[in-house]
Amino acid sequence: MLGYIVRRVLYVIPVVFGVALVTFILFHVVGWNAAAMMLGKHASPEEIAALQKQLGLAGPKWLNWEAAREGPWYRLFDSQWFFYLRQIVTFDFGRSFATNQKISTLILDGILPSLSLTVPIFMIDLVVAIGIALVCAYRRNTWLDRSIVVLAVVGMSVSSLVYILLGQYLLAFRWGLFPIWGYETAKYLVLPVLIGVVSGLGSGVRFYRTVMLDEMYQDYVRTAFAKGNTERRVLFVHVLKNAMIPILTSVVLSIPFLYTGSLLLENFFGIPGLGYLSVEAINSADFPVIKAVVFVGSILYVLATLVTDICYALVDPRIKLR
Amino acid sequence: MTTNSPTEVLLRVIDLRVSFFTDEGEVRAVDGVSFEIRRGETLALVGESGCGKSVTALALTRLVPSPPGQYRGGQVLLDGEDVLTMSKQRLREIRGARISYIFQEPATSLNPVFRVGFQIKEALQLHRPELATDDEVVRLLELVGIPDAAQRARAYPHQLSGGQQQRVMIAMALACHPALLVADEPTTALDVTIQKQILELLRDLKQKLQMSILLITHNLGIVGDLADRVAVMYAGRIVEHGPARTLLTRPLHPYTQALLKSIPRLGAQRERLVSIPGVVPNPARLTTGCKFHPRCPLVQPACSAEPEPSLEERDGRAVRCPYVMP
Repeated sequence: MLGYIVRRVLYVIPVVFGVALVTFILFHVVGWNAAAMMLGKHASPEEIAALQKQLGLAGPKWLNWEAAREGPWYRLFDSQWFFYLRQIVTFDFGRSFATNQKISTLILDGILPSLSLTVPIFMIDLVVAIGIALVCAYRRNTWLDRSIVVLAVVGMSVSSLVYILLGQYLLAFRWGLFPIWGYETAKYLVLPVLIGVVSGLGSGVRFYRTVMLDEMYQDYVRTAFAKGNTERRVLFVHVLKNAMIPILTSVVLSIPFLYTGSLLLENFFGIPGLGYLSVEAINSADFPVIKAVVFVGSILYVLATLVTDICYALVDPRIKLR
Repeated sequence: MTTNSPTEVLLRVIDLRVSFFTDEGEVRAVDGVSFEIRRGETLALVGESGCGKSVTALALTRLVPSPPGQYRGGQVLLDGEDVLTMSKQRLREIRGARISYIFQEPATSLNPVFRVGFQIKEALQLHRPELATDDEVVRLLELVGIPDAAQRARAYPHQLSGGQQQRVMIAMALACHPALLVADEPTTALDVTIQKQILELLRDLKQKLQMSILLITHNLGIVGDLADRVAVMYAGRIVEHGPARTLLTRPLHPYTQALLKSIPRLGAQRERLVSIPGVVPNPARLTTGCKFHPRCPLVQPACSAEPEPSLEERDGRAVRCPYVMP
């Protein structure tokens, strides 16, 4: 087990390298000319060239043959690509074009607000959706089950913008139950978390219900009933543990949503997290910030899949970690 | 325990009807089946796939999944008490304690994510909590012939061979000394050599524990080893019923005769395997009259024109065909 984890962590290194390569190609090779974007369409080519040099976007992209021929050999690595790799290793992504703050500080400052929003949403959603799905499986094919399915479909069909606007207008503005906007105390998080939970619940319930019902018709469930188990025990002991395997898979699929889904919520509620940072950066063409956010997001995703793989082994004895 | 004479009836099934409601309409999977099982007796329920024998077996403790299944009538009397109408609470007291099951696919019938010892212990906890100990689990595993039982109890199902998985199922089924063991195709998924071992185990245990067995199978070859009596099912009804020895040596119903002919025999100088012409009828669209007449070698015009013949009984044998009366 420990050996497996160590090896999996080592596997992360080439994946991170791949992520770096792809983001580099996206931003430096096929991406826009950041300096020209920042200076607007009336800038002269000389001005653009000067700014590019200042931003470290001038020089050769991959290897600096010219500098190596003229100076010492290690000048070969005096290129944009190796500059970027050095940024990643030292976690120093330079400074924001727009605000001139250190990007590493911006990201570290944004992580906590982001997690304080997405982690509660994620956990509550998971527990509530699985709970409702268990009720559906327990009362399958009754009016209760069917009503829940209809509600879930309606819930997942409504855009999350509608939840945000309705929540802000009714709960916060009209009824004054929560603050409308801001990030000061825990109270400010209640409404965005609530909205996040509600907007994700429909699809969660539908998926987990399908998983549970699939399990209900397995042979081992028939055996469990034939032994004289109560329906509740069959569901909570026998079915739930088997259902955890597909559920874990869907949890992985929802992890990128944690990162991108909070874009909307953070912006509508003024929560200074990574989502807020990303949208601000996109609006002001703050290209190093976007690059850093994309890179960090990819790394979080890779780490999440690692955690999931370990969880699989804890749930299913047939999966051996070697 | 009361003294039971060997002829005392343990289970009496009267006119059992189970239907499935599908897109094609009502499918009468079991359509008026009656039989009895006496204490200590083994009854074999024989027929092709889809004849309703497994549904009959599941209906004995109301295990038919519902929906789509529905009980449309009849009684299942266990010591005089009707299983089909009793409360869920009472039903749970019977399942696993008075009637227990072993199924066709031991690999999927055991829960894959729990250790086999836990699964056996669970059966004990449900009905004999005072005996739910590791020692008793080991004793049960030894009873069904699993070597190194203490260690095997900690295995997960996928770590055992198919034969051992079926032995675990048997240990689990026997944990609470059931009066009736329902063995639904217990050897179909196993290798031939393992089949023989499992059948021998069942025969030994039956004598040791004085229990009744309902053996569900499509394989008449294994019936002779184990069964006292045989009931042959076709299209949801019993077409022939009688003592195993006479039924197997002198079958009456054309369907039983055809089934017996299609058992492959070692050493027989046959070019091809004999099979019954035609296919198993679709239970959603059954013919009028005798349900077997489209495939019957002795078919007469009256077979489809007249109403379905009833099960006529004489000398302990019963057959549903007016042309082959005993």
